[in-house]
Amino acid sequence: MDKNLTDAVQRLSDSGAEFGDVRRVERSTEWITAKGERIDTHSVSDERGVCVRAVVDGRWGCAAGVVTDADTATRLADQAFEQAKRRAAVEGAGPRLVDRGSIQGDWASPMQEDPASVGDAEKYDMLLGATAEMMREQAVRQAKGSMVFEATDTLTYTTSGSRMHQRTQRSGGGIEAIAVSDSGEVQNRTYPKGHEGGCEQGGFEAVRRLDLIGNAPRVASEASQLLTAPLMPDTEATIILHGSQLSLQVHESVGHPLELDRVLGDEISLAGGSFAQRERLGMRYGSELVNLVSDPTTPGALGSYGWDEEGQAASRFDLVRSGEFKGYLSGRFSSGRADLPSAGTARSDGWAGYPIDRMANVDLEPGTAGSLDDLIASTEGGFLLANNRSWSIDQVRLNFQFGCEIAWEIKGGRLGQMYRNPIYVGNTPQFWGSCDAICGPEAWKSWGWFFCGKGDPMQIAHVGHGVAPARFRNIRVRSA
Amino acid sequence: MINDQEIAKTVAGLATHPTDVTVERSSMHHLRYGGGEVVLDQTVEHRSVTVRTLVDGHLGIVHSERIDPAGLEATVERAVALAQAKRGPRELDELPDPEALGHHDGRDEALHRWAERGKHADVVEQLKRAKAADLVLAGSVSSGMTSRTLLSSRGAVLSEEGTIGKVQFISQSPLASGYSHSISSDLEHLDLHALCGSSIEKAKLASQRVELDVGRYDVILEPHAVAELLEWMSGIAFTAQSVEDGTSFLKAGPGSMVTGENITVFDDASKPCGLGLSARFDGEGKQPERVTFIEQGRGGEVVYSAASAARKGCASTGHSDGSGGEQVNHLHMLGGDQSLDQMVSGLKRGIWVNRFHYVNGLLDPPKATMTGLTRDGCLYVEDGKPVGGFATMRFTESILEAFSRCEGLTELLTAVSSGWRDGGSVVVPSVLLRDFHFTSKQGSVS
Repeated sequence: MDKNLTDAVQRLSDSGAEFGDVRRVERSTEWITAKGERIDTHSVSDERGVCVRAVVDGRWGCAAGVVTDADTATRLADQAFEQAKRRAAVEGAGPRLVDRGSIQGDWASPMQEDPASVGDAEKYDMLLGATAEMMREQAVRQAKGSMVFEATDTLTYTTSGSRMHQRTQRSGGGIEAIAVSDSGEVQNRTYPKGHEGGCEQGGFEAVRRLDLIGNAPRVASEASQLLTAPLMPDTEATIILHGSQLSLQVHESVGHPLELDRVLGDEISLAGGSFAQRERLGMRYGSELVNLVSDPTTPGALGSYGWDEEGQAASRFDLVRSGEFKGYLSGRFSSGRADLPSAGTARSDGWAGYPIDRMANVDLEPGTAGSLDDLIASTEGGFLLANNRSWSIDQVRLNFQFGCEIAWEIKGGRLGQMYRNPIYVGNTPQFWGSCDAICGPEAWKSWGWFFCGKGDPMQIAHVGHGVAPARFRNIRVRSA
Repeated sequence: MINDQEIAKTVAGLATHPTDVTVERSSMHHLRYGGGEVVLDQTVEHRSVTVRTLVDGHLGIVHSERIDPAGLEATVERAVALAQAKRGPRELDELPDPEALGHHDGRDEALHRWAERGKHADVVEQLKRAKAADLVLAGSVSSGMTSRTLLSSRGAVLSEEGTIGKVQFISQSPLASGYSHSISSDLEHLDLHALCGSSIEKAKLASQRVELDVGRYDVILEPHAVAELLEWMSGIAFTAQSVEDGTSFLKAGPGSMVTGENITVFDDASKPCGLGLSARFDGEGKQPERVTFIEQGRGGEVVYSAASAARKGCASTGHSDGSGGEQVNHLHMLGGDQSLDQMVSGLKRGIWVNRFHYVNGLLDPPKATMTGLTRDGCLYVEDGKPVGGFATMRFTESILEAFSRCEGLTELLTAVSSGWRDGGSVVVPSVLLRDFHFTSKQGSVS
């Protein structure tokens, strides 16, 4: 296969392309879902394709396809070159690329226990053991469990002489209890968070650490208790966000608005634009406590890599420092257009995806407020909100509204009454400006989010968000 | 390169248990533009095999892009191994026999060849046109062909080929934007000039700004906005799985009043209105039935695959996604007798919604409580005339309750591309809803 790829690169060079890259991606994904006493689905997907990009007179053409024979990559190279040439003819010349030299290297994510070496029976035992535990709770109508394993092998060659080989193993799992009352009230609880559960770069050890069966009784009990809990009051309050929700808050109100291609208008057709336009670099994005970074180097975090897909080595990059807006998530192409430094976060979601500006791991650095218990103890009044249920934010990423599964009142530094259907509403810079405490390194954890949609055609990225629980003042809360 | 039927026959020949194989292929060309220039020119060629095999009542399903002989053999072996490993109640006693639907070629040659015959230049012309109007154009045009071949180890073969084209334009000024969109299986219904003109017109109308407070407003929802709400309804309520989970608002069964009596919503893959996209068979080779979810405000049926139908003790409705779940890909809402102009001119004080952004329907699924925001060319209307655009507003409310306050539907139906699935479309009217609840609005940056 290597020779087929290098032949394609040679074809691009021979054709006169200013630059070109050839990326082969092989990926195997396994999803297992359990419902009640049955394994509901166990699906396996094997993908194998090539993406070729070519630049002619500053215009890019791209052709991608499933590998059908030995000539696939060369055929796609010809096609990409022709598309670039056509663009240059119709649109005129585009911006020149800055040469970045060549890179040679291999990178692999950490893995202790290969999920492929673990039998289906053991995986099923874990899931069905957890669902059985949850179904013991009388009000639980449905109990679900899921696991995901994804192994990706990416090999990229460029006309500038680069060869990058990256192998990533992602693993995760989660459980959910759905309780239904006689009156038709429905409440759910999840662990470790809503949607896809907990995911990271690693092997089956990541799933073992979750202890799905051990957490199942608590999850079921809380779903049942929520049925009779009062609705979240409509008020302005101090809130503490658990990492299961704060990680999504970072994602939606920091990660997405700071993608440079959104700022440049490339993303208008799907996800939208951004309030964080270039003239706002230096603005106050949050309180002095708020430090946000892009860091694809974190071992085990879901979005880590060795190089982005434009050949820039992964590195830590400031987005917000001491509350001040410092920089964007960006790649070689977008940063060149904007004359800004590149964060090295151009990514695609597989062989068919065109690299675009993406989150890798966007993290909130830990503060000094100790553990979550310490933070609660230091809070006179307010609410602790956990586990995302619903999410929505406007197309420039200012007005947001998040729903959580559960809230607990905090009174005199202690957790009290449970509330159902909590939501909170805010405006991005004001919200982060109201942050007055962040837990310390002992409470910091990278939360993996498996389904980040962006691009047109839509691409799904896997991203990580390292956070420690944090406190925000004067936030509008109410019930859904 | 071997053709799709040969691939399917190779797989069927390897099968040692009852097996279905589906070969899917597509060739698409995507142009995306933003900031007034093209930002993506990409072709993508997909080809994949899905093998579904039944062993001792359990399904093994493997999806693979490895279509070489060794890859196909490995795929069949893995499917058998998955089925053998599964446990719990039997999923199916036997694989359903695909229906004898033969082959159908629904391709439009003009759309199929558009990328080679001037699509790029057509789009660049619209970019220039918007620029001449002091607007910046964004959007995308995707077009190409798709095909599916399904073969069962019991001998049946069915296949279909089609074309698909999707267009969207967003014309932007510093203060406002306008949106237009179309989806079709033929090029004739993709009029770039008219669509771009519509987005320019909307952007101009929205460029006058008015200040609005949050609260209740009468609203006219144009098709894209209606479609997004319906797709969320579908996701939370219209499948057998949502009834099994107890979260569907249709769980009480057919007959009870769930929303306004002028609301009828159904899935029909036969393109009954001549709009949108069609499908002749589902992931299990069954012809999709028309399933009515809401009929004149009363709750109706939900869709089933073979496995979910077996659990319920009924027949599949032909809505299998081929991977163990159900899909609703061809939503329709019945229209009424009004025109959009009549609706606007009859609006005393209200909001004309071109489309929504980021709707989420998971706030309280049994009540279909949703939230979302206005986007691109939404207009404030007073005394029957558009006055101007306004700062982004967020709604939060039960859509079942909102539709119970529906006082008008247009006769004209429009096809909207599914935001959830490639190959899906939603055919809907514009609707007039009273007292729609806007709960917050976009604040300032500082």
